[in-house]
Amino acid sequence: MTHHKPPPPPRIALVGNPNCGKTALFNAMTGARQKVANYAGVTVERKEGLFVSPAGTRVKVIDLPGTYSLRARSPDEEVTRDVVLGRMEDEEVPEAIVCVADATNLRLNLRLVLELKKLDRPIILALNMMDEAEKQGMTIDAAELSAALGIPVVPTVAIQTGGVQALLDQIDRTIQVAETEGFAPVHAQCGWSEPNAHDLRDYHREVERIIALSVTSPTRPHLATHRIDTVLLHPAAGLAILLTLLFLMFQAVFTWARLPMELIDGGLTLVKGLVDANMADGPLRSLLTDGVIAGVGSVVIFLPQILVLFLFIQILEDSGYMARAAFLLDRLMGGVGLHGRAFIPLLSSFACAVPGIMAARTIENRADRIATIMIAPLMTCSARLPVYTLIIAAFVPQRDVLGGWVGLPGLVMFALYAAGILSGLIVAFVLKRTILHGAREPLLMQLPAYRLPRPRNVALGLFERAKAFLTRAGTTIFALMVVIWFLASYPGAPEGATEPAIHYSIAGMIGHFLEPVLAPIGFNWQIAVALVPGMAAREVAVGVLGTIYALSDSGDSLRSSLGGLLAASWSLPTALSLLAWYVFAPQCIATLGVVRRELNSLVWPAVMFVFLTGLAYLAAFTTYRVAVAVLGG
Amino acid sequence: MGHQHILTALIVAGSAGWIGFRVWRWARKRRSKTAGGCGGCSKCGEG
Repeated sequence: MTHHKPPPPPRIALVGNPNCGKTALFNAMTGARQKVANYAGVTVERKEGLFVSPAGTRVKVIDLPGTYSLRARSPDEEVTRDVVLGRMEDEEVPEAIVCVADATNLRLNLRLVLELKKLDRPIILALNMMDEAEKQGMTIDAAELSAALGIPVVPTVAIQTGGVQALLDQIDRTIQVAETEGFAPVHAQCGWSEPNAHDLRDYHREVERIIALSVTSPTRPHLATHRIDTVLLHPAAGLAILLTLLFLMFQAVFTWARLPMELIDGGLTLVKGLVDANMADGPLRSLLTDGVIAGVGSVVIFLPQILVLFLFIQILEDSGYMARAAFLLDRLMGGVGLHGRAFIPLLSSFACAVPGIMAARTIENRADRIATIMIAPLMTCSARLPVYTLIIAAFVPQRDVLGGWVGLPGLVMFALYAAGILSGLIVAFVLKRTILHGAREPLLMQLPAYRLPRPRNVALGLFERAKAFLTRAGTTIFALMVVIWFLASYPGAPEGATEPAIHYSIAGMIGHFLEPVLAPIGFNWQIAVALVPGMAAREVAVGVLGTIYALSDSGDSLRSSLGGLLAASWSLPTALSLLAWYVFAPQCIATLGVVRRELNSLVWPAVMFVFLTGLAYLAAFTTYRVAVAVLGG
Repeated sequence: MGHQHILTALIVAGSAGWIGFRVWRWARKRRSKTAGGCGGCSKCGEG
């Protein structure tokens, strides 16, 4: 009996302008949960998924970064062009294209449709966001549009259940026709050449003709977005509102997360008590209480704060406000020589520098891109939140300031985030006036319409974030904590030892070896031990401190004991110095790895590591010395 | 050697092996990627 390998599934590519809902459509078709947000440039690489069509055909769908034309100008647009034209290495040309268009803005979207038609491949036009177009009073005659374009046109609402059914049916019909006639041998580039100015004028005229035939615009234009923008984009009021929003966000991170953090702390203390009460004294009990519960627990406890931070970010992204924030800050960014498009990569870096650095692909000019990438790690990523919170909780009193309106811990957190942003702007200013010199390019950005954030999207985003955080805590951080516990527990104290056993452990030896280098900035050997595995991920440093101090002492409550132990062991200048270190420190191998890949160079990650480590050391040294002089050691 | 010691040794060896496996897989993924893809460190939840 012979087994025939089934033919590969037909491939369709989702192509369209930025922020027209391609990824929402991709998620609706495949059941995936790729990130979507209400601004341009969220997708910067190709993503693929599989779905089974209503007729039972397995279809591979490729989600591509948004582009206005196949004349790619930035690295993310090059990905789209190369996949569509078959220039991508190890990538078959897609047999059909679904061109996704924002129905509320057809004039801009149809130019790309006309360009794609030149490829002589099956194309379906998905008129996405049809619900919004109807709300704005627009009428689009899909049949007329289809006749004018000569391709099937299907209205879709990607965010509604069943909103893509018509598209799936049309994909089936297109595949059936193509299979009957045989998929044309795709030599993708035939029929397409880079449009010149004359072609673009022709496209424009053709789009106007088609719009006149098929689209009826409302007699009264939709003014809500315009009205909101007169306030939110006001040069003074807009900036004040932006700063207030950010300030509220950091206050909420502390106040809203307090109760759930106390609950987690209580739960961990309970588990620790149960282990202590039910297990005989020995290495396994020490591993569980001092390694796993103290180490992993001291990281997990910060989950509520991370979720509060992302709740704000997700709501601001979904509403369409983030693009306005980019517009508001363009003048400030331009002042230091950064491209306006740098805002989104820098914003993404507040979650994690890795997607932030990848988002810099939307920047066309290489010098601007490098400058953005080099300062991305200075934006405070969520992994630094546990470090900041731990030290602030231990050293900053819970006190209201500014007439009782503001809590001091939230104010200090805001100042740390602001210090990261300010340092990034200063570094960009220096880079752009020295080694990355170049003319400034204006920001051209489409501002999306305001939308109410969808609770389902917000909840899914938070769920994915929590899942990723807990998965890491349960796998990588757990494994690291076990190894750290081992290093901090063995070989044990020699006979007649005068110091606690941890001093004679492998971790103790490493810490004492590094201590002389870090002593001038006020760090003790325990901090030196924590900084090394912190290279894997910054929050691991908190776990290591939890384990090391748990092996040195025991407390009733995990968080209060670690915070209390730090307050008792460190001077205030040491705590401030560590905060200053973490504003700059490039302690993340994944970040350096992604810089190497994105810039295809070993030089830039090396430069980043050296200059950020230098800045961190300098900042910590200055902070420590000034604090010692003012407060005393 | 008691049960506690054996179990502890197994957990420590398993954890060290897990870290080694993750580093190896990460390095292999990074080498095999062409354009696009972040190397999949799962740091950001999107890898």
